[in-house]
Amino acid sequence: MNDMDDLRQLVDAARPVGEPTDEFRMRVRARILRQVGAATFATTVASTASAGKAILGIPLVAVAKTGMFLAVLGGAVAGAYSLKNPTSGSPEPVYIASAAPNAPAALPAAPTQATATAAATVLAPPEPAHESARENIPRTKRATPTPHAAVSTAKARPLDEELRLIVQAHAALRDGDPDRARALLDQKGPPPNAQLGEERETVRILAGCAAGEKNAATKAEQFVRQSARSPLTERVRRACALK
Amino acid sequence: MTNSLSNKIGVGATAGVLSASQESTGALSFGEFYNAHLAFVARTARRLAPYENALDDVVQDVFVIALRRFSEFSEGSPPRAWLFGILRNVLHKHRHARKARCNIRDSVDPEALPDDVAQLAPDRVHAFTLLTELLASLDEAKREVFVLAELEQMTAEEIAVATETRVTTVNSRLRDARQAVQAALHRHRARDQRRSP
Repeated sequence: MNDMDDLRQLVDAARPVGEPTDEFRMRVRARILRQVGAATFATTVASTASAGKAILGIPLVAVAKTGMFLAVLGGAVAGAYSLKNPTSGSPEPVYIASAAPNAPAALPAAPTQATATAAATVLAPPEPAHESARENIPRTKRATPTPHAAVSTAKARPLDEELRLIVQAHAALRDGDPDRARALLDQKGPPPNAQLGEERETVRILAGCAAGEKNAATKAEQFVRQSARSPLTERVRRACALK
Repeated sequence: MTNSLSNKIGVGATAGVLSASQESTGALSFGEFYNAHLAFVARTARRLAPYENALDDVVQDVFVIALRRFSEFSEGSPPRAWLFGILRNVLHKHRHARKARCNIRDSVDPEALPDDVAQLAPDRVHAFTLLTELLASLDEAKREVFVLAELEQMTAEEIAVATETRVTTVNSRLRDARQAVQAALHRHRARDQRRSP
C-alpha cells in the first residue's frame, strides 16, 4: 500500500468521528431553545433562584404551547429548557413574557423543585464565568450519564419527565434492549400535554424493528412518509432497513 | 436574488424573534437549518478541537451566534462556510478561556479522550488519535483546510469562503497539508515497523 492509499484509509476511518448522536441533538437543541427563547422576552432580574425558576418556566412553556418555538427547533424538546438545578443558590434572570402575546394568561405554577437525577444529563445549571458569556449564552455542566437510573417522577415537570424517559429509552436501545426501551415509555404513558410525540414514536419504531416485530417495517415506512423532514427519519430508515 | 437567508429561515434578526410559519410554507426554518448543519458543526468542532470536552458548549455557541447574525448571512455564502467562520471564532474563544489547556500538539492520551470519542469502536478511536497526531504537525491554517477538504469534502471554493482566503491559497495549503500528513504517516509506520519484531 502506498502512502496515499494509507492516508486515504485513515481519513475514511476517522471521518465518522464527531457525528452527533440523537441525544446530543436533543440536548443541544434544548439548550439553544432556552437561550433563544430568553432573547425574545423583556428581562428583569429576580433576587432569588426559586422565584426565577418558577417564573421562568411559565412564559417559555406557554410560548412552547403556542407552537412557535416547537416549530422553530423541530418541535421536540421545547420544555427541556426548564430543567434547572434546584440546589443552585445563584440568582437567575427572570424572563417576563411581555413579548409573547399568545401566551396564556394563567398557567399552573411550575414546581419549585425539579427532579435532579438523570435529567441532569440533559440540562444542568450555568457554569461560572466563561469567555462566551459575553454572548449571554447559558453554560451547562457535563454530567455522568445514568441511562439505567430509576425514573423518578416526584415533582418532575411533565416535559422534563418526558425527555428523561426518551433519553433513557434511547440508552436501552443502544444497549440492545428494545423491550426495556418500550417498557420505559409504557411505564407512565405520555403526559397530558405531551410535546415529544415524534421522539416517543421513533423510539417505539426503533424498538419494534430491533425486536423483529411483524408490523415494524410498516410503521417505520409510515413514519418516514409523514416525517420526511425530521432528523430522526434517517435513523429510522437505517435501523429498519428501509429503502 | 436579494432576499437574505434570514428571511428564508424565518428569523427576525433584529428582534431575535423566530417565526415558524415558514415550516408550513416550504421555506427553511431555523429548526431545519439546525438539523441540516448540526452534524457538520459537531464533527468539525471535534476535529479541530480533539480534546474539547465541552462540545455541547461549542455547538450551542455556534448556533446561538448564527441565529443572532442571520441578517449578515447572504445567499451567496454557503451555509457550511458561514458556520465554519463562526465555529472558528468560538473555538478561539474557548481556547483562550482555557489557556490552551488541551494543546493539540500533545500526544493523545486515551484516558483523556472526550466521552463521545472514547465510546467509539477501537478502530475508530485509533484512526481518530492517529490522525489527530498527524494533523498536529500542521499549522492551523493547513489543518483547517485539510479537515474541511479531506474529512468534510468541501470544495475549494467553499473552503475559500470559510477561511476567508483565495481558492489558489486553499489549493496550495491543501497540497502542502497532504504532503506533510503523508510524510508524518510514513514516519509513523516506519517507527511501528522498527518496534515490531
